Amino acid sequence: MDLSVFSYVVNVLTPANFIAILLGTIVGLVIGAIPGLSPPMAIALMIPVSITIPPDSAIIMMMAVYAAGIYGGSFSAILLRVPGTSASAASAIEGYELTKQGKALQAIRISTFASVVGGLLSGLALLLLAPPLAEVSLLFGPAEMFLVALLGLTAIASVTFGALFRGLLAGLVGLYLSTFGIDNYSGYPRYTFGYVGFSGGFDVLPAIIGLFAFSQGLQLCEGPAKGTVSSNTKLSWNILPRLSEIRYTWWSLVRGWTTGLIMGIIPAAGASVAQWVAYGWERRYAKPGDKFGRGEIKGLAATEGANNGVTGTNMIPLFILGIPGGISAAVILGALMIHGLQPGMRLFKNNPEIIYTIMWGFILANVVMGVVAAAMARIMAYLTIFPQGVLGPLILVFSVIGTYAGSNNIHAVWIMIGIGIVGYYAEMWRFSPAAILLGLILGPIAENGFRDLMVVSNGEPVGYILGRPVALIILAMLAFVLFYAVRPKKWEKLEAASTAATPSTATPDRVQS
Amino acid sequence: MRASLWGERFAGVAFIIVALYMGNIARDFPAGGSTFPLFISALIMLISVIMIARTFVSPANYDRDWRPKFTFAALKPILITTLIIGYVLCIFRIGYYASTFILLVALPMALGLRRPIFILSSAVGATAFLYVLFQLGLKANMPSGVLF
Repeated sequence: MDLSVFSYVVNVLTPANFIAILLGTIVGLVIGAIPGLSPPMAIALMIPVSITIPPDSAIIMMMAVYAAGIYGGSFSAILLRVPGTSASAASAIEGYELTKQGKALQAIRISTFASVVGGLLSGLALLLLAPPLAEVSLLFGPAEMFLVALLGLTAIASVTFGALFRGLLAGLVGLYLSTFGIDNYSGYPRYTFGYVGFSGGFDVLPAIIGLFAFSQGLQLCEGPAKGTVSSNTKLSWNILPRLSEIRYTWWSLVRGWTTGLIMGIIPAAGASVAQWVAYGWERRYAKPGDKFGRGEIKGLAATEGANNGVTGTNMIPLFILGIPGGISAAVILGALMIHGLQPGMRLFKNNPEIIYTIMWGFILANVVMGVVAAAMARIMAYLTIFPQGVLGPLILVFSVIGTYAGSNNIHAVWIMIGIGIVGYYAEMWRFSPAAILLGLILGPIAENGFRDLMVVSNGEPVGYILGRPVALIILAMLAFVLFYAVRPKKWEKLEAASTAATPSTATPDRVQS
Repeated sequence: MRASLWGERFAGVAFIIVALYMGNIARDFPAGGSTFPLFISALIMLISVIMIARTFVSPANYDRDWRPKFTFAALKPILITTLIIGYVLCIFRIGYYASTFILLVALPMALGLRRPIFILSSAVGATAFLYVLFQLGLKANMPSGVLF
């Protein structure tokens, strides 16, 4: 580890960089909070603005947009059950339940803390461990990607909340939807039913907006028009996290951050997958008295820690190898090249002052994000005391405009509405919409990984997997997860009895909003 | 909350039918494109059979009462979705901002909210925000029709 990296921190502390970070953070939070508008869109929006400023300030601004955009989606997810980005869908599960109980600001406090610290840790990993972690990302081939997708799919069981078989069916429906469209390998149109809107497949964007935002809008319109989302009529200004809350959620935060840091290195996985893996992991640590599915702050802490824990390590393949690991990284690659910066080890050798300043800028952006986000969240929390008769139609309108603006395609709007109705009734009949989404996101990774695996292994995947250490590690994790899920009932009772005999260190009832 | 006995059986049968239909279509996908869909179909049928079987093995775990509701309240989501479909079609004829403003005034009143000043100010504020964000900020030219 080169300790001279610490000397570049002073380069960040200039008025120009600070303004770039502030602007990027505000744009990222606002864009991220609106369903349909995504961090890559926000980053692309800032490219023309960045032309007139020095390259390091420009890239710092875009990194700030990226980090804040990921977090911004959590506002609407927690307050309204309307994820602003695909990275925040899991946060809607516990976050919105907390909002309904009048604990919106508690949810926002922990979510902000988890995201800021997750982003800081991820930024430090990017700064200090980028070269060795880049080597690790190269170890992920088809076998590893396929197994990672299977590992993610096991999280389906954690979002079924007592209706396991219905949840599994919902997850399988999501997998079905992921096969719609032109097959990447043969070019054959699968399940298009003659409708041009299906030829491009089911994009994740209309699915998220339909399953969560549109169906939520319908639910709010169905309820009493004068009712509000939150049971509170007034909002407090307690936007700083309490020590008792952090202590209660500490291990959940650590698990979330760890998941985010690791999943960020894996190409194409990103925050969308990391949040579900973190949530599934957290569910396995559930103790008697935990309220998963009914507003458990630990679940929210884990998902929020994961989705921002990804942000820094997700940039490692980009900065070290010049290979973008996701759409946001691809847009940032474009921005780097526009500013005459070619990512890769040569940039570290020839212009270390630029690349390390950018990394320090990213770390500072997470701190600024915490301050700005806390203030913005307090303003957005007023939506929770809006009458449902106004809020529901607003959400429906934003669902339509967000889908249209995000995809520029009217067919995506029709698909969103169709999936929205499916999501509404799925929620009513306990076919978890989250499971449908999980299947849709992980389906392509699983199928493409499997088909690539069959090609590279010449039809003998088992022998191929056994020869790859990283694949074996993931396989072991998968086996552990499956064993834990199906272990004999008497073992469950023994564990529950052992946990009941051990006093817990914090009680959720004392954690107040 | 317990699942409904007949709801569980009906869902299981429905999913089996869907799996058979989708699997039948998938058989014609070339170059290995059928493997994954057929695998999903098989899993769906297996899980559906288990779901149905459980209702016969342990019926006491289910709620026997299942009456489909055909009340106005139950139809509300369908009516609102129909209205939204009409709104989307109107966007291209009347114009995006005009249609949005009309919807944000008409729908809250149709839902029973009787606070006209609050509804009007919310509609004006939301429409203005959308204009600033999309038209001025993102430079996304939203559809315009007879109006704007």
